[in-house]
Amino acid sequence: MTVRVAARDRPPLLRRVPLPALGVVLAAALVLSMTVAIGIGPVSVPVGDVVDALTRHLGGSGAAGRYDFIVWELRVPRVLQGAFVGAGLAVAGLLTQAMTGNPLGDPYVLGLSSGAAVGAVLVLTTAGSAVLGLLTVPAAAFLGALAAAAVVFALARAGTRTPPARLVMTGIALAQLLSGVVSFLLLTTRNSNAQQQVLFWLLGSLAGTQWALGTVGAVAIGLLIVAAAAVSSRLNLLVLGDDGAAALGLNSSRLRLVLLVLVTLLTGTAVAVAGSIGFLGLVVPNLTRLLVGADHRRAVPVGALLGALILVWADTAARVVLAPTETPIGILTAVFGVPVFLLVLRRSATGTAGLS
Amino acid sequence: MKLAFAGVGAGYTDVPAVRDVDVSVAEGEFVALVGPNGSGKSTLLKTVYRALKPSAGQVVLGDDDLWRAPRRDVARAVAVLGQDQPGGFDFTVREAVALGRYPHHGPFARLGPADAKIVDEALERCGCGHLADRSLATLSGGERQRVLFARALAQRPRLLVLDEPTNHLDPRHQIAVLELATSLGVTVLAALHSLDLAAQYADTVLVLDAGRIHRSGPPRDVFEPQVLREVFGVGGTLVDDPVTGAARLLLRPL
Repeated sequence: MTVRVAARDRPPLLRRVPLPALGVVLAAALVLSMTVAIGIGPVSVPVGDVVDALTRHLGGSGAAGRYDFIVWELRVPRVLQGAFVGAGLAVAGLLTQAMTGNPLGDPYVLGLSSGAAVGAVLVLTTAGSAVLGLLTVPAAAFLGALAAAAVVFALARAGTRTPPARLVMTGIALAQLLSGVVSFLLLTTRNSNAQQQVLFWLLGSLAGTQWALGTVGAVAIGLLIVAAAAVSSRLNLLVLGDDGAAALGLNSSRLRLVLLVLVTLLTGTAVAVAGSIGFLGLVVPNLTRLLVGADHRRAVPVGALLGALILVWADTAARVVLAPTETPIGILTAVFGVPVFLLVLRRSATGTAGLS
Repeated sequence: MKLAFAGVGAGYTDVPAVRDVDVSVAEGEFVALVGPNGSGKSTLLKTVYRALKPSAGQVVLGDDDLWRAPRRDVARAVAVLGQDQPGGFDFTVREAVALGRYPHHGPFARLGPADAKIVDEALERCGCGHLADRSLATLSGGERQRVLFARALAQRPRLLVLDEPTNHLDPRHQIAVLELATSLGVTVLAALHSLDLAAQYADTVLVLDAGRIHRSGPPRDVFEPQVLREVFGVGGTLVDDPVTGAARLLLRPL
């Protein structure tokens, strides 16, 4: 019998392409995609008019063109938000997978999205957006994610250590509990409008993104991604396990705590502004490692750009598939995500995406 | 690099798995740590590569308390080949070995040509140059063990800690790993299951029993019938290897 391992041992496709080249190409593709995507929607705007409206605003001359409102007030914030949320979820996924040493890790596995959902649903089914206006639901979702992370971390802690497997198990258990709470709140509310909003929120959507909230989200996610890039070389050591990392001079418990904070803030922000968009955090990291290899110094920036690209296009599809009705993005990321994920699994050297 | 344990106790629970360990290891010495399963070999080794803080006593590396020195300084001096290491994601062999350079260049600097040369050398010395571009996840247990050894070498340590380094290895590679370890000219502290390999390669043997040092000294003094019977529950005879002249240990049931 011949061993077929060697035949399956295909190196990542783009492993030898230098990072700056990858970065430039992906960034260019992203800018191009965003410009084109701005023009696509229930009302189509020719690319020339998009560029025209953008240069007017960025150049400071206020004279409004024909499509100015659609481009500048509706599409631009939405597309920008999509790029940042996509990048944020992809990086959160990479960090979670490194932190747990598990390629099936997903920021939602830690119970973060369920916590956010409880926060948002509580507000939607009870108070409405009375308290803080537009910011009420995002704020409640963000606080919900934070609270869930704190509970998961506290429950998973064993002495001075926080074993990654316990973190995942605690997160999954809490997520189940919280999704029960969400279902209960949904069933018992008499407000059918709230039910509709909740469903939309649970599947994720970038519809109705406005400059105010969009800017806050984009700045926060941008800074957090920079922070993630700064710890990316340490993530490589974490993959060796705690003892192996210690032998190379890394305090893995401390790093894990830093990562948990980063993942919580990234995911909390993304979910607060766009609802719980599924699958990006799981699929994009795997796709990224398949393309550029497991070195996180490459995977973090490349993953961020890929996540941005994918969400910008998924959101564009969300605008047009059932136009003029919005399709929740979660549906599109799942339809796109599942096949890609299965492909990754088939292609990976061990057939288990590194999970042994 | 010299190493000393001064009254070291350590463990994962309130009851320490090792206690009252007082041992000095001289520069360039090969010390074998032997003992039955659960006697605390790995626990003691972990206090040397900063994976487990001692609950009592001090570990002294060179002239400094190892647990008070900066982590990175310790990682530049001490490399470890652990018992079982997770495969992790699909790192290539060269990437995995290059991780050994981390303590020398820190989190932000890039690997230079000098680092690349050290990585290549380490790969060659461990006989895995031909595996350089393979994915770590596709290697056999023995190949992976050799790659991890190459990573330890790429760290350019002055003290090499080996925890059951011959696990998963066939006879040829068992001998190759220990030959390589002795040829480096650095201090070696190795937990070994095979008493015969300990007898052949060690300058000093430490016998650990239920967390305490039961006996220590050159193999020919340590491996007495009484020690073998009391600690390991086996009978045995020390002989001279007819070819190399090294001490060999023949084991038999009591």
